[in-house]
Formats: sequence, structure tokens, C-alpha cells
Amino acid sequence: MTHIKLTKDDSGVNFDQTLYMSMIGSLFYHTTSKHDITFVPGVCSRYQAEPKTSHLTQVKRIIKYINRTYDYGILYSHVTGSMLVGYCNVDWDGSTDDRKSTSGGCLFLGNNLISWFSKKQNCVSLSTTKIEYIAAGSSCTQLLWIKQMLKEYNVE
Amino acid sequence: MSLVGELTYFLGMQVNPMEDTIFISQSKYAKSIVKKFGLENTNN
Repeated sequence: MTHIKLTKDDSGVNFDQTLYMSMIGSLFYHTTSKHDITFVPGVCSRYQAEPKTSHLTQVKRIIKYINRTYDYGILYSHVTGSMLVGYCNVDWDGSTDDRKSTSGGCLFLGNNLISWFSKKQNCVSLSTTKIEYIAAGSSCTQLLWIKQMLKEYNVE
Repeated sequence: MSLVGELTYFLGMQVNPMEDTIFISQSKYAKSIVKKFGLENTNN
């Protein structure tokens, strides 16, 4: 999907909205243990208001991917450092319809992935630096919250 | 309330405790959504 830009596709053939939304919902629940598909269901969910067959094709591709990788999950190990590290990134002009960018990020405690997110930004930006700052901001919010929580749990 | 032992399966989440790791997956749930939308026999 990386090279495909989804659009509203106003001239496309309509597809059953209820079924489409049900597919998106199922995919979102699956992201709780499969972070590699955090971004794509989010993109497809933007077209829930008026799903077209072109959007359905992409949703089916995600489900086919799941079919091949159903046993993927997250591994947590006891023996690991306790350094909290956050990463973030952003796509420039990811949404063709409203020109907004999408932030993404993940947080590791030692070697363990503990938090991740992918969210379309709320405003249109004219510079790449600004969208990077917005992504870094969201990441830091999460980072500080977890830092505080670890302190409360007495985790060093 | 009753104690039913260590957590292994909850709301589609499978928890597999191993020696010093824990593996969390949703393979059963993943298979069920593929089946629900009728795409289990497609490969590409």
C-alpha cells in the first residue's frame, strides 16, 4: 500500500457501508497485538463515510496479509534493561483529500515495545519541520505519561 | 469470583508465558476475521 494513494474516489462504485465498517473495526482490534498494521486500517477508515470498491480492494489486501501473518505477535522478555526510548516519524502530505500529515511513533522499555500510535494530524502544515515537531510533541506526551507511571510503580 | 489460574486467553488475546518471555498474539482472532470475510483461500 505504500505506493498507493487512496482518495475519496467520488466516481467509484459504492460498497456496503456496514460491511466495510465491520471490516475496519475487526482490523483495529487486531492491531492490539500487531503493530505493523497500525497505520493502514487508519487510512482505510477515513473513507468509512462513503466506501467505494477501490477502498474495499485495499482492505482486502490487509486481510490477505493477516492471513499469511496470523501468528505474529509481541514478545516481552523479563531480562531487559529499563531504559525508556521513544521514536517518532511523520509522512509528508499523506492524505490526498485534505493534505494533512500522519504522525506515528513507538515507545520501548528496554527491548519491549510498550506503546505505539498512528494518528492523522489535526491541522494542515506548510513545512516539514512543523509536522515533525507535531509528531515529536505527541510522542513526548506519551513518553512523559509513561515516565510518570513508571515512577509511581517504582520501576527504575 | 473464582480463580481460574494463569491468564492464557482473554477477549481474543492469547498469552503464552515461556521461560523468561511472554508472547502475546491474536492468531485465533486473526484466523477468524480472515474466515469471516471469506479470504482464507487467497494467497497474494
